[in-house]
Amino acid sequence: MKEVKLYLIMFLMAGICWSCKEDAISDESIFKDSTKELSEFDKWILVNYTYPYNIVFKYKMEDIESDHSYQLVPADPDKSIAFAKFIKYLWLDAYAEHKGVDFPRMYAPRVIHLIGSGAYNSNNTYLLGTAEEGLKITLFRVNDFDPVNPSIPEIKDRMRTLYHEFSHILHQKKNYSEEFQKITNDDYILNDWSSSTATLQIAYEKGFVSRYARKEPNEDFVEIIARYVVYGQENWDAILKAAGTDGAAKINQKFEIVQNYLTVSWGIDINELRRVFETRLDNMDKLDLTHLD
Amino acid sequence: MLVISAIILNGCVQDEKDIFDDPAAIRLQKAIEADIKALTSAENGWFADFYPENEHAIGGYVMHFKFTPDRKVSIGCEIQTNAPAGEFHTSEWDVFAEQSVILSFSTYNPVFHYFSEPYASDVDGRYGDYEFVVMKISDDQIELKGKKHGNRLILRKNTDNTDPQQYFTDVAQIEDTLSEFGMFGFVLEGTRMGVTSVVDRTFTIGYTEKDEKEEEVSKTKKVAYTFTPTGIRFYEPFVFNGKTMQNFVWQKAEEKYVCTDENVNAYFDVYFPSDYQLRYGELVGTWEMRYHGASTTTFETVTATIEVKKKNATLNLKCDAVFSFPGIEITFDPQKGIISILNQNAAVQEETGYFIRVCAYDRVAGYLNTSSTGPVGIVGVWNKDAEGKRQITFVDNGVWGTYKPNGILLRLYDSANTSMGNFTSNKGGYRLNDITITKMD
Repeated sequence: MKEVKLYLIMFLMAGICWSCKEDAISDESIFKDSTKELSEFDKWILVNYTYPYNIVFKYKMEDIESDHSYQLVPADPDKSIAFAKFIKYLWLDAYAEHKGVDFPRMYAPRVIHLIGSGAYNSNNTYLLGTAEEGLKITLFRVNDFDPVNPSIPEIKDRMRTLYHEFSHILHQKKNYSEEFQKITNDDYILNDWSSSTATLQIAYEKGFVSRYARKEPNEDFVEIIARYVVYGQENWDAILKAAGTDGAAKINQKFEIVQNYLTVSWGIDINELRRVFETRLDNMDKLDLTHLD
Repeated sequence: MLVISAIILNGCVQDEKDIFDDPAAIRLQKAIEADIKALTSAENGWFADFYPENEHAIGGYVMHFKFTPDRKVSIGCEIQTNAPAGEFHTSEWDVFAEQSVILSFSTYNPVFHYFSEPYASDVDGRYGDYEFVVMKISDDQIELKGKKHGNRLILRKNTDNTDPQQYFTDVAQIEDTLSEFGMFGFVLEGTRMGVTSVVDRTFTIGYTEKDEKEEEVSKTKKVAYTFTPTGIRFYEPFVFNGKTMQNFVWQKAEEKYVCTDENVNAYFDVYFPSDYQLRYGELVGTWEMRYHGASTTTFETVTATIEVKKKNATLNLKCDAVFSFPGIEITFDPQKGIISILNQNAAVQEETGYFIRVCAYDRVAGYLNTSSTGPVGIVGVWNKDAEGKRQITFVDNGVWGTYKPNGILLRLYDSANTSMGNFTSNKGGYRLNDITITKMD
């Protein structure tokens, strides 16, 4: 019986070996080199985004990259050129100036994807941008921008979105103190932030720098960074004034945590970052948004 | 055990024969190359029937595409999109592999992406796709299916080098002629089958069929269509009583669409129901307008003009003697030939920026409806006996219910929709009641 088992095992082994015989590997690669010629804009992106910052800047629509629950349209290439230039100048280069080029190279998202239209929700709100786990930032409503007569307030709004989304990446990598959300813990209202009764004035008085900040603590946290850096001291003072004594005290308390977090966790001086941003904004007239360099 | 092992071995040793000569990835790559070659092969470009919207609910649109090897595509459309009708715009295209080969219109084109554009007030827009699965390729035709919404895009090679502008002009002329008719009779092999209504480039074909109990039941079938330079082409063949119909030419003299498909004798002829009032074209022109203000029963008589606004859908009632603004919109129902004046913001007052709102007004009860849009309003009734003249009197359209408007009242509203009082400075006063119009030309 033992012998029979041995023969059987040998027999099976032989069969397995036989059946495992592999086909010869084809010498033809399934990955073909793209025969597409790069446009001037594509080459500019390589030189200004991919090589220095390791970022893929996607201005062509890729449905697979977008959120399928929204109806969207692609970005206009001329407007995408403007976005590519001011995003680099006011955001990546600003961080590089303050922290060195390795900082944005290491922490900036790997993909920036531009979308032409807004991503509209049926509750009368729309997305300005999204950040996905540090990997990708998507910016919407690119086609509404006018590169010939660029509006500084609009550029600031766009930059607020970027500073907002990038700040999400920072806190997703290193968390901030739990003390932060305790300050206005009872006043986070999730999606009700956009209801007509949740006004901006109420948000200020309750200790928030915007209506959207009331959504939840992470949004509150990044709204403080984005608005402080992008909109300047005058705007910040106006928010504190509108917030009244109680509201301003809460905003200041939260700001202190934010400032401390940036310094300790990332070595970022938020005031210096703001100074760099503002200097660059003042020099925006030297940036030609209608042509590649 | 020996038997089992023999079976296993037998199963293992025989290699499956490959169905395809190449691995899947190579085949996809070859398909991509073939599709690129096909798309760029049309020297004179492609004419296209494009059906956006879910379930092609707004019918088809004629477009022209010219793909070039540098991944640029020039696109024009017969209708005004985000560019004027017939104007061509260039953007980029690409072909790549996902589950199958995909054609993508990857950068913004104001003509093509008009159908995909979302709006804050309409988050899905016209449900236009911009990425398409390549379904079928032949020498002269490429069939594409939208990846997200299933839109249909059929490209037909422009083999005889037809000028796209001329093609669009011919299509627009056919559309202009046909848009006047809202209803058609359906005649197959000499038998009248039913009545067809037309809305949004879609026929709703009415017919009767016998059920299991041999009783006749009324049925309808919706068929979307695209205009052609000579008539219409259905989204897909309409099969009825064993006959297959898709292509029709317009015969102007007889006012009917005649099927040109083989072995079919069918047509749709213009049909006016017995209560049909006036054709769109008959409404355009000079009218005498008679009305009175609320405070008096003395009638005023002035000259007014009815102008084309959106063909076969709306008109503009212009009356410089009465209105201190360009006019009031009249809504036209093409299936019944009936006109209405519905609640609307007719204009913006220059000096204040306030909306001048047309409000349905019940003079007897002294109430007005304050909505900025319809459906509340007054409807025109054709006075057939008015000595051979075309005459229409406006009465309550019955929508309000609570009150019975017999006229309109002009009122001012600010952007927050707060009433800023009656538009007392209007030339002819702010109230117009019991309006009757009589055609003068």
